Amino acid sequence: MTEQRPRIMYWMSVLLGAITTIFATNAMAANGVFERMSGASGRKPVPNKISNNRSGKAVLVVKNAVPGTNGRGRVVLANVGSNPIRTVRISQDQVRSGGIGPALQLQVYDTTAKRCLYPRPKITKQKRGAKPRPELTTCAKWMPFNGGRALKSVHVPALKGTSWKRKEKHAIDVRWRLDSASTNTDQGKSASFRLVWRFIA
Amino acid sequence: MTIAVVLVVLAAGVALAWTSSTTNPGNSVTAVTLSTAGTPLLGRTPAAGITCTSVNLSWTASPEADRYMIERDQSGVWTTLVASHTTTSYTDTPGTPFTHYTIKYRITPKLSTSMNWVGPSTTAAITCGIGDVDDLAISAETCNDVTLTWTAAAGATRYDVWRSINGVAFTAVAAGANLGVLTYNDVNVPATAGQSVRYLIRTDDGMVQSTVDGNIATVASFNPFRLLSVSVNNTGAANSVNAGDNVVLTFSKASNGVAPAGTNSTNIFVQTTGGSRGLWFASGAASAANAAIGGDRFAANITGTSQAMAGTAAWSNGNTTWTWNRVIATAIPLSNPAGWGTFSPSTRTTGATNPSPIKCSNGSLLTATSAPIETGWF
Repeated sequence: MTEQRPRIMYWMSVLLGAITTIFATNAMAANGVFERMSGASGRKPVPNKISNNRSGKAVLVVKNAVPGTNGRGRVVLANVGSNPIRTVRISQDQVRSGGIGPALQLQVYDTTAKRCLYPRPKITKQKRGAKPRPELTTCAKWMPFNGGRALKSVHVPALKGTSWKRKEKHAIDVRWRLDSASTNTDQGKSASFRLVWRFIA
Repeated sequence: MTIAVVLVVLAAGVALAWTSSTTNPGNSVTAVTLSTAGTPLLGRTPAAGITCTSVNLSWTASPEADRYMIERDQSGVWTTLVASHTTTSYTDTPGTPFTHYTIKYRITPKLSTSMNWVGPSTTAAITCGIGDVDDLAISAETCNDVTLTWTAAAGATRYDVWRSINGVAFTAVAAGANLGVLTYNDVNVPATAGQSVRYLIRTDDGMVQSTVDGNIATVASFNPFRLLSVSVNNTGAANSVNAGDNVVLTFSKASNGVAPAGTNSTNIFVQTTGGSRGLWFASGAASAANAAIGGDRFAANITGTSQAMAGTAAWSNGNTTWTWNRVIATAIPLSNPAGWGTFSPSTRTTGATNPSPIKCSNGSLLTATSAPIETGWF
């Protein structure tokens, strides 16, 4: 009985060490800082890493928007790790409609996959694993600026198969439109939001 | 040992489910604010004289706008000349040249992409001969009077006031009387309650009167100083006037709170015979010339003897209600008049033995066309 306690303590220490190492590794990879040097020749591929060419910055900053006009901002996401990434999801949060919300409209379009993400195209055949039919140039319709649930954890499909392959890159447009039916009181008003991308490998 | 192995497997599972996130904050869309166009510069053709055959407009652009709405005001009403003009100049050539007019123009920035958005407007005016008054307004209605105000018209030195009652043709009420004055008080307007009273101004430069009428200012429903209601209230025995009974008169506007004054001002006179048969309020005798307020003439007698019924009287409700109270216990027998008669307002101008007439706050007398609602009986 007295000999067992030190043994348990030993295994617990080993276990804690392992868990700490695993989590630290994950966190560093997530932040894109985990890169180990391989000898003197260069970098060793990082298993899991994503790049966002506008990381921490806005994709869309529009001033002096006029009714009846539209525009876009583009963000490029890429799998720069060596492993495939199973899931990429986009969410909208921190929405501030600023009183102009009803007249302001939004779309999110994957220009690489030629597929609308917001709104999601309808899947005509309800087959298991079926994907929406690609929309070659544009989305089917304009959507509210505040996407709510429709722009919460929206799946960004891979170009082929179920995972974003190594070096797979998606240029995603965030499109806006100020409706021509906008009322006179919309003048000078401003609306904003944040985009959040989540990846699971 | 077993627990440790399980935990290691779980940890390995966590390691397999690699997750990461990245954000793009501060995405924003801000709508433009349309700024004003420059004040329009106006030029006329010909360059001088009482008539303009055309007016040229030009203005500096609103930076955000690509369209302009152009409006013209000839007599207090804006008319759209062009709803969506693409340049910053315009020539207004009316079918009939403007003679004796002050013409205003208004420029409103707009967008070709929106029907709804407009920027702040800018206005400018030009005069062709003597200008007209197009901002005539009713500034006050006091008792039986209507006060008018307006701003100066270009080239005008005199303003003649014209009036129309209930749709009848305009007639001058102050022709030539208003040299350079920009207000007029129309005293004791001869309109009855509910009639419309309209006014306009014709300008004059001392030699020539403008041929153009200015805007029309309207009192939609004239409300003179008049008796609105008579309520006779029996609080005691029927068919007699007893202590506690009262008569309440309500007026359309506040009296001066002073009249009626005089020794008989708190009496109601009951008359049994002749053309003055009826009740006379604030009176020592039976006639409109003796009553401070007036009286109701009945077709039949309501008592056996003509006499003054003494009581107390007071103003209340901001001097719009006059209440007479019988305070003497002696009962005076009365019978129902079988219908009220016709009210005659006081015609007194001075009072000694009998009271002076009640007056409105500005001294106006009760209107001669008063037709009060009469209710109740002793």
